[in-house]
Formats: sequence, structure tokens, C-alpha cells
Amino acid sequence: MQVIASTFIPPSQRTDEALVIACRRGEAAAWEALVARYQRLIYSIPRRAGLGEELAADVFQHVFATLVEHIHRIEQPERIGAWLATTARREAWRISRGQRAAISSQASLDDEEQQNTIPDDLPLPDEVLLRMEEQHDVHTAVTALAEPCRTLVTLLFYQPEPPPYERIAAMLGTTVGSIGPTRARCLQKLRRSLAKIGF
Amino acid sequence: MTGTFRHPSFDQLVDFAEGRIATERRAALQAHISICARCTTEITQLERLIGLMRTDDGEDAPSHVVARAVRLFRPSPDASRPVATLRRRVVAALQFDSAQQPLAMGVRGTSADSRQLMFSDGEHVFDVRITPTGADWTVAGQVLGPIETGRVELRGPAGVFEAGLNDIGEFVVSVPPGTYVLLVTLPDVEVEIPSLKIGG
Repeated sequence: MQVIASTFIPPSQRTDEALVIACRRGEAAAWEALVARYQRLIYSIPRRAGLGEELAADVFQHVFATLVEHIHRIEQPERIGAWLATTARREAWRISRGQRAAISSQASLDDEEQQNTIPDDLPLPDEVLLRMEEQHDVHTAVTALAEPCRTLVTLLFYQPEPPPYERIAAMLGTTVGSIGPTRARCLQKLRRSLAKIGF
Repeated sequence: MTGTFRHPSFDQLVDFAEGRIATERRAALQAHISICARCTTEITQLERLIGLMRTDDGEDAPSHVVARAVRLFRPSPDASRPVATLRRRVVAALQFDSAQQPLAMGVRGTSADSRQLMFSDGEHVFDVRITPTGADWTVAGQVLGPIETGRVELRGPAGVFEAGLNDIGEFVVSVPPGTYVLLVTLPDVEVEIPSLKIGG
């Protein structure tokens, strides 16, 4: 009798396509992993579109509620990220147009004040959305790096003011001279990781 | 060949992309890169990658927002046909508010009084009692109707306050004064009670 060993892959390590298929089978852990994977992107899109935290949360809820409704009809599960981003952009635009209409109907605002308060009436441009998706892919790959790469890359490239190498070396418990070569190795790992997803 | 520059190391290319190369070496590196397709490709890719990271102003969603989206998904109880279904979302209607009841003659009502409200979504009744407790307010209540398990969440200016329902549908939460949205998450429905004014 041939015994076929099956390997359990944690939801967080599965591909987008595998997660969508698992969600269709009713696997709650797969749904939770999908939400966790895309939460940053789907929340950032309405925020980038100028919506406050409450409305961004509403957009977030709408996007994932729509996904649950349509989970069985998604034609390209491997492109679920793009589907989510597009849905978020559309919903953010719909809400911001509603805000704009509400503000412009307030007769007490003079023209100048109105100009300053009315949200942009255009959806996020395609190139902005694409860049946000790329940044999401990179950020996801960075958070998947093992230490010390995850901390080093975050300190060097995600801070408004990267700390000096001396402070980084102290935080990582290493020498200043090793920061440069370690940085290079970590970036190589990051690039290999991104190459696997066609980045 | 005089003036030949060996391929820089990857470390040097990263320094170049980051602008960490000393001025005198930068010119020599730039001269090599301009005639080397391999190094040009490396620099272009590095600058793109570093640029994406440096300009990333994305925000993580608050944990309660993520949790709420996770709760949207409800696997079918029918194991032979597992399917994801969406929790319905409804807004409950106010049925009773003690603050709107006429007071007996000579009795003066104050905002410090306890208050009872009852809402309904057509299937459940939500009995909510709001009582001052020092500087905060206790929001206690009970969900009446067919329930198995559930949670309540009060979302307001001071944050998000959560509690589970006990086995008879009761809950209790302590919150600062403010106007809140009360969300009751049951197995197949999420009920919203908007603009619940607490204290003040």
C-alpha cells in the first residue's frame, strides 16, 4: 500500500489562489489569512483617496463583504489582490463623491472654503493604484524575511530618517562594519523572494 | 585598457543607489554603469525597489477593523456542502427609550439617570440599559431571540469596547461618555445600532 504523505501548509504561507479555493470550501482560517494578507493595502487605498479613518473602515468592510458574496465567482483567484484593490478604489471614490455632494450642498460655505474642503472628485489614478499594489508586494515580502533582515530592511528603508549605522548595529547586536554587507545580503534575499511572485 | 573599472560589488551598487558613495568614487562608478548593461539593470532594479520602500506610506488597518472583516465569513454548518456565506447586516430600529417617556409631575429627569432602550431587527430584541458608574457608563443588556453565540462592540471616539454574550445573551461593557455605534455580531447576522448617545 502506498502511503502518500501530505504536507500541511499553514494558510499564511499559501498562495492567493490556494487561499481563495480554501475559502470556497468554507475554511475560516484561509479567510482570516486572506484578510491579514491584504488588510494594509485595502485600508491604505481609501486613506490615500483622502477618506478619514471611519470611512476607510467602512470601505474596508465593504470590500471584504463583497468578496465573501462573490468568492465563488472570482474568475482569476491568483489575481485576487488586484480585484480587492480595484474594489477598494471604486468604493472609496463612491464614498468621496457622496461626501463632495454633501459638502457642496451646504450653502453657508463660501467658494474658497468649499474649494479647500471638497474631496477630489476623481478616483485614484491607475498608476497610483499600481504603485500601491507594488508597495504592498514589497512590504509583504519584507515582513516575511527572517531576522535580522526584516528589522534591518525596515530600519534602513521604511523610516523617514534612517538611524545611523552605529545605532542600528547596537539594536541588532552587531558591528557597524557588518551593516553594509548584511544589508546587501538582505536585499538579495528580498529580491529573490519578489522574483518568485514575478515582481 | 586604462580606465577600466571592474564590476562593482552588489554592496557598492546598493551604496550607489542609496547615495552613500563618496563623491570622488561616484563619478568613476557612474562612468562604468553608463557603459555596462548588467550594472545599469542592477542599479535600475535597486533604485526601483528602494524607491518603493522609501515612499511607502501605507497604514495597517486598526485591529478591530480587521477583526470585523474576519467575522464576515461564516462557514456553512452543513459539512457535506461547505460554503462561505455572508453574515447579513441590518440596522435595528428603536422600539422604546425611557428618556422619551413622560415623567410624573414634579419629577425632573437628568442626564445622570439610568436609561433603558429597546431595539429590534425583526428577529431579535436588544434590551440595553445605560447606567452611570463614576466617570464612566455601564452599558449592560441582553439579546432576546434565537441566538447561539455572539459579541457586542461599542465603537466611539474613545475607541472600541467589546464583550461576549453569555449563555443567556447578556453582555456588559464599561465606556466613557460619548456617542457610539453598537454592533451585535450573531452567527448569521450583524446588527447595528447607530448613534447610541451615552452620558453627556
